[in-house]
Amino acid sequence: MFRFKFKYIFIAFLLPLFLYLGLYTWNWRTGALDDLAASTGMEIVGWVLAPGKWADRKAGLLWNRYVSLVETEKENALLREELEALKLELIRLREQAAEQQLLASLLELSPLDGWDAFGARIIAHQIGPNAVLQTVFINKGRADGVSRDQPVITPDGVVGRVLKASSHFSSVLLLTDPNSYIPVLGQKSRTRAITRGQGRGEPLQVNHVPKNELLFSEELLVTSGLADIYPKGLPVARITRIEISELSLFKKVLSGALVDPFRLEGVLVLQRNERSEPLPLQQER
Amino acid sequence: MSQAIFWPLYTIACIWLHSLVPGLDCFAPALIVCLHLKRYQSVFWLGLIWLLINEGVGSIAFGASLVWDAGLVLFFFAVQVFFSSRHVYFLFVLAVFAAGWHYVVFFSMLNLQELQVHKEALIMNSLLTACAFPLAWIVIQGILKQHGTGQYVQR
Repeated sequence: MFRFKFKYIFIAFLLPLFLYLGLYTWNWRTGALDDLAASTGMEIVGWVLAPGKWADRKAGLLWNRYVSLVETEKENALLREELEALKLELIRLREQAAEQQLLASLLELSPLDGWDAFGARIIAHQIGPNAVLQTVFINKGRADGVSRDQPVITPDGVVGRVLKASSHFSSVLLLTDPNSYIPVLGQKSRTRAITRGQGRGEPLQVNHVPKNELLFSEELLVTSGLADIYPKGLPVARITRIEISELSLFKKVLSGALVDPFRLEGVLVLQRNERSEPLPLQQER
Repeated sequence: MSQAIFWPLYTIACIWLHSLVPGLDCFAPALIVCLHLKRYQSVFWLGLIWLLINEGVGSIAFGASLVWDAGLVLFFFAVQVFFSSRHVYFLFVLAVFAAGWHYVVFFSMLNLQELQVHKEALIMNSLLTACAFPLAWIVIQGILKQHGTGQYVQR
């Protein structure tokens, strides 16, 4: 009787549980099921959403062109493109100027040296019950050269990094997600820290700033390039609050992200080029 | 409307709905409706496709949707021991279980993968799931019955 019951419980409950745990750990090591799901599920969703978004964009464009003054709109578009290019140039120059003043030895470094940027459109935000992290879905994938951990920015600042990619689509982990950590440094003070998201509409935490380190109010935080994910010098956030506690060895610092990722329509994906220095791991290999 | 047309259209509509309402799952209620109609072959194939879709666009490692769907299927058969899925109480019990199960599965999976997410966001998703279940059930049943494909499969 007991043997029969045990057999029944084993087949109905324990066997599937063992199978599941085996599958889970195998996938955790190899990522095979994640890749399979990304290259099928992500592609299906992308191809379902992309035409609708395209039609929506085209309809919006048509409407704007006919209703508003056509020439002004065209001129505006050109000026906007020029402005975005100038903003990128400004980021580079601002960082160079700060570094020239403070670190003469690093004069030759420029933040976007060794990186190429290409544009991508955001076609959706979090999709489905499994999208529990703050992500956006973009229309560029492995076929366009996108891979995991590539930086995603706008001319105004950092947006996040690529979380996973299928052939033609990718999801990007936003800097506002609590699992997003970005090594930064103060543009004036050159103090190093790590920003961490706290959710949509919430300020970013600036962690690991010792009490005796200098940090200015309203100071711009730029990427430090330490994690080998983001190039050095990209603007991330501006400090909004600095508190010093008697009980802690570190300052309590909050900052506001320069980009609201939930209002974006397009982003730039950064890709290392041949001028880029190889990662330490690649050098070892 | 045949099932071969209905389910692809339903899948497309769900993907759009999912992109508009983050955290919503319209696939799970449809899976339970298929079980209720004893369309086990549809449960397998649709379940597989929807599993890949949910896992593919998800931001956590593969496995959460599998546990989530398997739990719902087990619950469906367990509840049927006490009362039929045609009973109105069934929908209520299912919605409550779905909300609780959703929270347990995703909270455990996030902890297992050492990921952090605000509890309020998880609770909101669970409440959304509880509301979506009866609504989706009524809509799917209504459409299937209207087009003559909502009958039980005789075995």
